[in-house]
Amino acid sequence: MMATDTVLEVNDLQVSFRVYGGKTRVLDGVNLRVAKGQRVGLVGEAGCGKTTTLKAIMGILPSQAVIEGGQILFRGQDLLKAGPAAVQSFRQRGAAMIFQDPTAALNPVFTVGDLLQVGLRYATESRGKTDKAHLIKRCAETLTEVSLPDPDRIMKTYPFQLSGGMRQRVCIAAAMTATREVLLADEPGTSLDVTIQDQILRLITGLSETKDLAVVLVTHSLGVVREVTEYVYVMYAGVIVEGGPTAEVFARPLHPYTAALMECIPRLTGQGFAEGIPGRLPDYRNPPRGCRFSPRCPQSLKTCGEAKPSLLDAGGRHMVACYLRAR
Amino acid sequence: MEKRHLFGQAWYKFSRSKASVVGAVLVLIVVGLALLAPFVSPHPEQAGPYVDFDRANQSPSSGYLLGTDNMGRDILSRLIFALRPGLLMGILVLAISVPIGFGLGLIAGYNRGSLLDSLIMRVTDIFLSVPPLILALAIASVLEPNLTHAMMAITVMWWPWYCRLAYNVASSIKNEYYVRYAELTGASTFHILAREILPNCLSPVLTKMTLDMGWVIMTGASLSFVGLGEQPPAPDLGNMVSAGVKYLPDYWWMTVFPAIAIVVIVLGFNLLGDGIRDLFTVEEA
Amino acid sequence: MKMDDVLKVTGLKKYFTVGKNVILRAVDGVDLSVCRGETLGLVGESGSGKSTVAYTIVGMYQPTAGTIALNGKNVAGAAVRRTLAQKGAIQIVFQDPGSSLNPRRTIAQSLGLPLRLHRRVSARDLPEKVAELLTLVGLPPEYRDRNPHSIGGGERQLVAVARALATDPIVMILDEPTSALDVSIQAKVIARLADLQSRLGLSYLFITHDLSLMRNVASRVAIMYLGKVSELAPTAAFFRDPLHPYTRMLLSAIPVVTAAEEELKPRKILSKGEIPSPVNVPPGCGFSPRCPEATPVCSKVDPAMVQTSDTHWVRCHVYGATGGPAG
Repeated sequence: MMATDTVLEVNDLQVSFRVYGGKTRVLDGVNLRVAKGQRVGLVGEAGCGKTTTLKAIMGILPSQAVIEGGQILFRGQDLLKAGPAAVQSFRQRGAAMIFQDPTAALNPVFTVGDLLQVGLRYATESRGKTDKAHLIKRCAETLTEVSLPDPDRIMKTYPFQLSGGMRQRVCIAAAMTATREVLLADEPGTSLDVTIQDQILRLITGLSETKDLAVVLVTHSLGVVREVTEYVYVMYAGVIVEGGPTAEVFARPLHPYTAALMECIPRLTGQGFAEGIPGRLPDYRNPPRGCRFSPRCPQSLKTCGEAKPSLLDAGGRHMVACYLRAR
Repeated sequence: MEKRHLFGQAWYKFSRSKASVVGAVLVLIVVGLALLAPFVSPHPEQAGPYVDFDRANQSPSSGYLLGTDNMGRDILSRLIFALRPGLLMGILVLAISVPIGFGLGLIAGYNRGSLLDSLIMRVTDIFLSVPPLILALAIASVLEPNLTHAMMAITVMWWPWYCRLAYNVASSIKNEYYVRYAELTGASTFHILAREILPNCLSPVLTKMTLDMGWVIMTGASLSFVGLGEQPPAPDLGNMVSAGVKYLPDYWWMTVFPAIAIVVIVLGFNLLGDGIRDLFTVEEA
Repeated sequence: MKMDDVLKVTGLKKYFTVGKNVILRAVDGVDLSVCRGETLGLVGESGSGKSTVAYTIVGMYQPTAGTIALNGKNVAGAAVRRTLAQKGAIQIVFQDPGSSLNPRRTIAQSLGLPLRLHRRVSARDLPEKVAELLTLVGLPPEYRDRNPHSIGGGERQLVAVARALATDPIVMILDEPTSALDVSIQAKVIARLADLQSRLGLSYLFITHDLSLMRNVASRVAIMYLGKVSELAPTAAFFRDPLHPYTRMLLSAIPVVTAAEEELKPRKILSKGEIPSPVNVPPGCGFSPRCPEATPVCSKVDPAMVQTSDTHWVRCHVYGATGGPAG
């Protein structure tokens, strides 16, 4: 599916956090693009900034965060420069986010029905009055769309009465009640069992296909990315280091970090796996001047430590931010 | 990075809230005044048995910034000296009631579900079920009214709160993996309580202690207001307020200024307590 | 049967009473053995009982029934009833690196506990022994004065491993030691564990839900469902020729990263339904409600373990247990 109809675009996003002793430069140039109906993966390890990226898109960064630069374009409009009304409209009808821990994401004192109706009510408010019956009917429909049986009974239950997998489905339903164009999913299956995670991922894939829903799937699991997404961005220490069609990136990982990461994954074929990547994540208060991965890179050149490489085209929609590949 | 920057980091966290800094300043002022009372009060000799009926009931003026009371004594000086029994009471009451309450709560919480737990917590419940001030009044009125007995009375009613707090925290910490490990590997109960559980209970306790300083002082003032604490002519926040009550509204300064002092003290410790709590909070990025 | 079993668990049961007359059968008849120097893998999802097995072996719980033989001697029972030597012989590394170390004690203090208790190290010799342990697991000796929160999750797990090694154990139980860690950090920790095993002749009971990891770590694998072992086989056979429908369902659900691995997975069995709670074990075979190959007898009679080859056992009617179709 060609990425011609871009729904969400992030250009050179830079975010810092104010901390004791200065600022941590958490995101240092994040670039990504999602087209209508496309499933895009954002993969990286803990602390690389992928959740921060999602929160920046939704506008829910913590108070100590500072957006230093960049653009977040939804249908061509820069959300960072738009007024609060545009941002609100984006949250109500443009994008929705689902989180890693469905238990923490659902307010325990409201029934599932209440939780679903709230989002829908705000999304349709400006379009004239909506009566309660219509809201309830739409919510029940959404529950069926996420394969929850007996929606009327579920609407009356509280989250604690449901299993983890069902709670995650409720979260997805809450994101889907109003028609949206983008779903931001932050590690949606990580806290669930493997067989249940499989169900949730298939659900998201199905919804994306039937409703032309663009999905940004954030995860640390390369296996999940391979199963669900068509295009993947690899992130390291606040920078997108590689991006490309999923099959292509897995077959030919261009960035040394991507390649090293793949080596570390235990294979079902039983060939053993690498002993990890030497070194640690950089100190975000004092990040390396050039490429952030260069201190740990086995192939780093002198230029790598001096200037930050930008994302370069490597053919076939495959991009990589690495001087080694720029030849 | 670790030790050197510990204080700097702590101050950064603490000072994020302006209110906490205000509280810290207030408390420092109060403590400073109390410690340096003989040196900072304009008429230190008037905090004690002293009469000068010529200067009685004078409204605030340049020589007597907060006015004089019915015996002609400078209210400002008396107020500064009155901080002493107040703070002393706060410190001593907490110094005694917290270790007792916390210790009992720790033991009961670790042995949750056992007979020992029931024994300790039911006794605690009994103490908690009596309205605190009534309990203190009852005890203090049986004994001869003075500062020491007021302190004893407040101590008796104060320890159960720490027992319950420690109980709740200890019974949840005992399920942490590091405690289980210590049990599995054969550590003694003393080690588990003192070295594994106790250090992790400190943050809510220290926060509560800071907040409580203000409330103990206020309770002490309540007791001496009804005559069960420090006896006149020794100045005490409570007895100064009660002495001036009958002169309201004419000589209002006799009551109002000591009352404001109580408010400021409680406010200061409350704000400081909020800041202390922030210090212990680990923030999520 | 192997002669040299360091750990042999027979008929282990652990039931919990939750509420009035409600029994949670966490472990319901488990037989396992770990041979000297080998790694026995234990796989299962939530509710399978694998963690309860681990905790009962190490002495956190008093078993409801069954024996736990350590080098032939039965030590079943709560840890308080065991001798100091027995406590030191079986050690455990927990899943959560965040709470397995006391956050208010330095690493030297945390390691000092088992050293003082079990090896009677004097205060004078303690720093040296702590440094030895840290070097053994590949951490810099300077870490002795650090607090757990100032080091990364993988390093905390290594400290937990060092702590377990402090007593010179015979058997180490590793309860999902790397589940909370990123792939590259996991690789480091696993490499270190393998190195220690070969150097010190340790025996591991390795628990995880990650089958790809299991494939590369264990010499034999047991899979649990609702408190019982449903299949047990040497690793290669387990993955090449999975017999139990649940094993196949689990294997078909795992996300993998290469096409070669995809080939290895059994035909996709779409997992349906939720994992039942061990409070409500379905009658007959616990897996029958979700099993695509269930027959009428499955929901009535609980199958017994059947030996299909020298080293492969499976608990399923399909393989010729009570009354079902033969082989």
